[in-house]
Amino acid sequence: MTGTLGETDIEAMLADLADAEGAVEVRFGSTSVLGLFDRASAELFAGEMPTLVADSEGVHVKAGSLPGLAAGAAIIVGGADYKVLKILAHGDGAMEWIALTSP
Amino acid sequence: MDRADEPMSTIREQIVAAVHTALNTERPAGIPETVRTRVESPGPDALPVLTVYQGREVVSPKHAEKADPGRGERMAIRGDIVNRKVDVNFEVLVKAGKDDPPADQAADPYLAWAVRSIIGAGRFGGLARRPAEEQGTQFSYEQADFSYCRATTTFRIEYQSKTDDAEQLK
Repeated sequence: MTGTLGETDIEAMLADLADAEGAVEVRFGSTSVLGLFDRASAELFAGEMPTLVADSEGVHVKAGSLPGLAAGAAIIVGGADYKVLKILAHGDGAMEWIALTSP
Repeated sequence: MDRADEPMSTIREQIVAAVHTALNTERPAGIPETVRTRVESPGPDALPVLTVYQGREVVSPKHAEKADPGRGERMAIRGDIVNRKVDVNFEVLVKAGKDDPPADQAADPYLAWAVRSIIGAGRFGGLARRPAEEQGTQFSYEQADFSYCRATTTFRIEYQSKTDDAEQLK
């Protein structure tokens, strides 16, 4: 096997998850791939007063599957509009994490 | 009612309460109520949230001089009054979405109101020695589902109390 662990199987695994409604469509421009959407609470502004509780949203996609994607770009995830906050390599690098914010 | 039966309230607490009252009196349109010492963690839908709370207080004893006949010198004695400076913080939490101005810009009207209402309250009915002094503003930023900003302006308020009774001015 070449590249990172499991790299060749990622698209097939995401397709299987999509069949079970566990993956979402991620569209950037004319390119569409499958990804794993995640939303978690984030506690912001730790300090003297209690924190602000916001949503931290993002999606995992196969690394390099959305050429040209960069911070600030408009992106559609699961049919909803977002703006890309940042793109981080995830795990062994076969996947990347796209942090999202409201457009 | 005997004084021992009365609820306790230091001059400091009376001043912070007066600041809170000033912030919520004759508010301009669009300025929400300011909360005293927030205990909840708000979510995005609750913003903007305005909070006032007290921070550090510094106490400076006042000394008087008195002749010491035995040593032929003057000696310092503890006075009946202490000088106090309490920092009162006004915190703004705001968010900015797609078509909004930047979050720090969104905080600006609330910060302006804090300056106008707190300093405009003067000596808080004689509790303070002089009007509050603005010390500065700390801006912090976070990005999540929205752009968020926290801005905290600190006001320093100088007052006095009796050395042995924080509830009494003199």
